[in-house]
Amino acid sequence: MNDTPIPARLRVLLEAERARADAPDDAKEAARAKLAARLGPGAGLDGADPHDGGGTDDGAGSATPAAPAAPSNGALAQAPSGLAMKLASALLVGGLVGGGVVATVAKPAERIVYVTAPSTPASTAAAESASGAPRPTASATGAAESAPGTTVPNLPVTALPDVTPARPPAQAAAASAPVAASADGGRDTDLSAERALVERARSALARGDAAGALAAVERHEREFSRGQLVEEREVLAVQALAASGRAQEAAERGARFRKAYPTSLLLPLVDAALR
Amino acid sequence: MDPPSFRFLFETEFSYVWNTLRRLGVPERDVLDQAQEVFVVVHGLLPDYDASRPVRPWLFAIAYRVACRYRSLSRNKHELPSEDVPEEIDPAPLGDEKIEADEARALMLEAIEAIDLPRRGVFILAELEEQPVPEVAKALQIPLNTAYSRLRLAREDFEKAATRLLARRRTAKRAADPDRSERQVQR
Repeated sequence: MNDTPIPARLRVLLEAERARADAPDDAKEAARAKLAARLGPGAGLDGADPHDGGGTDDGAGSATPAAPAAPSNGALAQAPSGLAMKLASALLVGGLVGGGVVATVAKPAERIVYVTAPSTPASTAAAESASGAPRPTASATGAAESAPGTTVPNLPVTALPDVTPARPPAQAAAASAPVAASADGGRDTDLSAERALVERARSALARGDAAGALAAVERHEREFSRGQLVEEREVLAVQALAASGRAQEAAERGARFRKAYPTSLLLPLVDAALR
Repeated sequence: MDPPSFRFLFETEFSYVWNTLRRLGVPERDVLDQAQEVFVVVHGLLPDYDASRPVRPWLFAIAYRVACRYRSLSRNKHELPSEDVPEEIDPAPLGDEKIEADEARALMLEAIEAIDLPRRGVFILAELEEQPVPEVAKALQIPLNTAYSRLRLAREDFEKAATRLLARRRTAKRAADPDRSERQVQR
């Protein structure tokens, strides 16, 4: 900007600030680990460290470069199902067991819990069809419907090192409900059941199935009227209504959302849906 | 044009987000958490990102909202360097003073903090990052004229604050090192 009227004697400050160093590497790695846990495999951060030659099989190997190409759940959902299945199972199994050591049983379990978001129909299909590997809550049908023996609460909270510290109390208020509640071991069952429904709505939406999304939203409303993911569900409700052409209802629900969550970080999603 | 992948953005722009949060007044100890919040929102909004636009103003707008929300939580409010203690400003030129880069950055953050909030984002994007004002207006979703007038006012805020801070620093330096100023006087 050549026309800057900032006086030369003050520009030294601007220059110094522009030369601010990069974020510390350890902070970046910490953020990567926590985000991978929070956002699930769709984010492409999981086991995707290019310097971590941890891939043990072809599946993980091919998943790693492919994952970044999937910016949204939608992209994965549109992939040819064979590839998507391979990808999804690689992400869920190969990618997670990446270290290749069976002794890390708690580790994949931990990941899968917080990755409950296989957020794509493909990965759900993979989760349901894959044989052998235990799959606690990966199925979009969720803990509410899965066999009791495979539900989350059996996991000691200590098996979730990545997640708990992600939520220091100071941040709980600023954070979206899901992980905040994970620090509270007693509510994990409800939370994962809730999360499964929300994820079902999300993946339905991602494949263009607005009716399916609305069905999941409505079920969440019935079963978790005071749940921890109400804010997320409401966003999905607006998106699903908008996607099914019910503009008026979408706008009304969006307005209610704005009123209920005036500082929501998800507001831009609502706005985008209503545009 | 396809939007960049989430991972690509994380790899390439983490530092940008980090530094932006610092500039927006998030203290060091909370930057990591807030940077995560930014990327969670980025993840949600990425499908809507218009890849024909530069990515940083877009990221900035998200970081801006996250930082505002962070600061609106009462526990995160901290005393801002207040303007209501008008200090005597020594109008002597500051140009020949040497200032360490770290100290300059600390002063810069303090000066940014003194810029009125709605203007602050415009200032950081346009002045510090040298983004074209129309791009800034788009990213922050404000009319172009508003962006220009905020920038003008922000520059005034900044100049006033930076001048005050530099003067304060000089006063403190003199107090800490009376010999030197005496020598200067004798000379």
